[in-house]
Amino acid sequence: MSFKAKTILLLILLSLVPYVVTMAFLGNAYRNDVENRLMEDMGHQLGITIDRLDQSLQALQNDIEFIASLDIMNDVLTGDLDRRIVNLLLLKKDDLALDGDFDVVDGSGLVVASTALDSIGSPFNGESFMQVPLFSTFNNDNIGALRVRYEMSNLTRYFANDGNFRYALLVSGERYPAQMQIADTLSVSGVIGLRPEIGIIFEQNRDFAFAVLDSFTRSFLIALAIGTLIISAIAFLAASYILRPILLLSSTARSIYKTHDYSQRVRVDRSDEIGNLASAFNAMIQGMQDLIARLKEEGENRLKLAQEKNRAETLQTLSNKLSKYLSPQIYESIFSGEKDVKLGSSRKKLTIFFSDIVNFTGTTDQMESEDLTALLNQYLREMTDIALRYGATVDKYIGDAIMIFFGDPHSRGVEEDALMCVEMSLSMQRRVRELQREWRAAGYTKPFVIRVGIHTGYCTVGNFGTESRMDYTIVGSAVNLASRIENTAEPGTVYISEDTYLLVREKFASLPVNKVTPKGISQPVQLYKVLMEEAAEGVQTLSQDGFQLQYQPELLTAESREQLRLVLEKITRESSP
Amino acid sequence: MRIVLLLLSIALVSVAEAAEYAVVVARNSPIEALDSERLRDIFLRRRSFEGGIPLVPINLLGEEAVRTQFESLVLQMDRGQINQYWVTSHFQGIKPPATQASLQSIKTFIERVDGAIGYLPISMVDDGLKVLHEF
Repeated sequence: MSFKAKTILLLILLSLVPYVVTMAFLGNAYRNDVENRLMEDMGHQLGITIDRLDQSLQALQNDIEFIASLDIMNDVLTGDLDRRIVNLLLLKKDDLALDGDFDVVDGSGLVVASTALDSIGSPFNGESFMQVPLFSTFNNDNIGALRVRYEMSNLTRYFANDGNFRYALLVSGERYPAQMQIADTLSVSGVIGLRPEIGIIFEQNRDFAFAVLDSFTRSFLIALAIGTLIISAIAFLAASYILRPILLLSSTARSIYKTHDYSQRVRVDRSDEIGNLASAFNAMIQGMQDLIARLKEEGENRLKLAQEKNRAETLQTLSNKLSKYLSPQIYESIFSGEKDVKLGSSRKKLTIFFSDIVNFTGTTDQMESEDLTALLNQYLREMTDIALRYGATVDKYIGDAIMIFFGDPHSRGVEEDALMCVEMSLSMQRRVRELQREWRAAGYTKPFVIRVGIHTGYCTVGNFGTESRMDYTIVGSAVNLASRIENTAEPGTVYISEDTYLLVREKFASLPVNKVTPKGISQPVQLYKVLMEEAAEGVQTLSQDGFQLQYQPELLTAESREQLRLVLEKITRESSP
Repeated sequence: MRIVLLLLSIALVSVAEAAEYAVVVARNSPIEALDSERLRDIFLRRRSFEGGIPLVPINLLGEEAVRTQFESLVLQMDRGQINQYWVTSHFQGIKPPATQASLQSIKTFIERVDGAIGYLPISMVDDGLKVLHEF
């Protein structure tokens, strides 16, 4: 049941219940009261009627007593020869309009005189309703009796009976007048004072008695029905008035739910509690609207962030992939924003490293491509790992060759860069020797042997190419020289240019080897071969301008010592002016 | 008529001087004779018993000759005196004798009621009655 229906019902109940209860109570009480009054009235009327009947009977009694006291009654003794008694009785009967007869009976029971003339002289055989004894007036002897045969019609003639009011006498269970009893009656009863054996009933048709009240009740019910209709209508209007804003609230809320249009508002035109509710509702919707706007904004921001994050992740993934093609330093330098990815370059002094596998083509021709790829990849990976460990910038792989430089994007200083580069090269050579053993163990008969060339010089470093395809690399004659030195180097060795040598000679023992003349450079360049550490164990190196002396004291014999002394004496003599 | 009869009776009494009426009781009454004095006492209800027997005097109703004769000869009073007497006696509780409307009923009454005493024409006296006094 809807709230509206409940409210209407409640209003109707509130309005009608006291009304109905009161009217029903009063109606019932009134009905009882009416009945009581009717019964009381009927009692009064019955009393009056009983009085009249009593009076009538009393009058009859008086009459016959008077008659009995008359001298005439002495005529009983003469058998009413003179018919004085009969005449008197006839007069009296006529006078009273009696239904019945007077009889004078003598002491022997014979009817001496009677208004029923036929019965004179015969024994009395009727029913005596009333009788008085007769006494002679001269000596008070009982000489007989005066009897009255009495019909109930003498009494019922006083009754003015009709369809609605009825009097009746009840004598020994007989009803006078003999009528059908009214089905539903109000009745009162009593007895006649003089003759208690005669009961009397006064009845009234209940429908007739309550006709006025019933008519009133009908009018009341009609009024009630009309009242109910009016109250219902008022209740409906009142409920509508009360609930209109609530229904409006409800429909607005539904509309907001359906359309998601939070700009809708309920019109507030009342200042009562419901008006407050509507205002509160509006405030709530306003709050929700604001909240939703904020959430939307936030959501958009988050989406943007998520998209950016997604893009960043994509970029990260991409850059991770990309990083494999770039030296970590370059990569980091670019991705940390230290360097813009744009065409441009700078000039720097770098140490450049080149390596390649000696006779790579010849070696690889005899291998299966899978083995070759595996070997080459392992080699390049191992070498790159070492390079990265030393902070090198791996510029590119050119087939089996590797190009590496130190000094950009991070530089520890030119000398340190050169030292690192040489140390790295030696590490690589050592690692390759270890790998050679592994490869041999794995069944490769001709393991790789590498050669390394290093040069320190000024290069142009930066991004080269076009806007759509760039390459971070170094260019310059120093690069070419480094490549040339590498080509010159013996397998399994590290060759360095003089420029590099000057930077690292304190730390690494090197032997001067041949000179090369790079393209475009007029003067030949002195090359040095860096001695591997294992070979230099126990070897003492003394190096000065114009000479380099290496010796191993524990292996020196007396002969070799003498030979060394002679050589040194000769050199020092020849070179002195 | 009554006046004619009355006049006739007076004429007859005066002419004949012979008794025409008798005071009677029932044949079986122990009373044998009563004089006028005694009869006057009885009919004026001054005396109720005679010889230990209660007496029931009976008058003829109306102004029949026999009654007027009885009143004038026996009671020696006219109707005015008699009425006056009964009015006075009424206050003393003495009522006049019972009456009968006809001579026949007086006869019957005397025959049937013990102690009844009345007057009738002698012609009506038969074996059932006893004459106590003639007038």
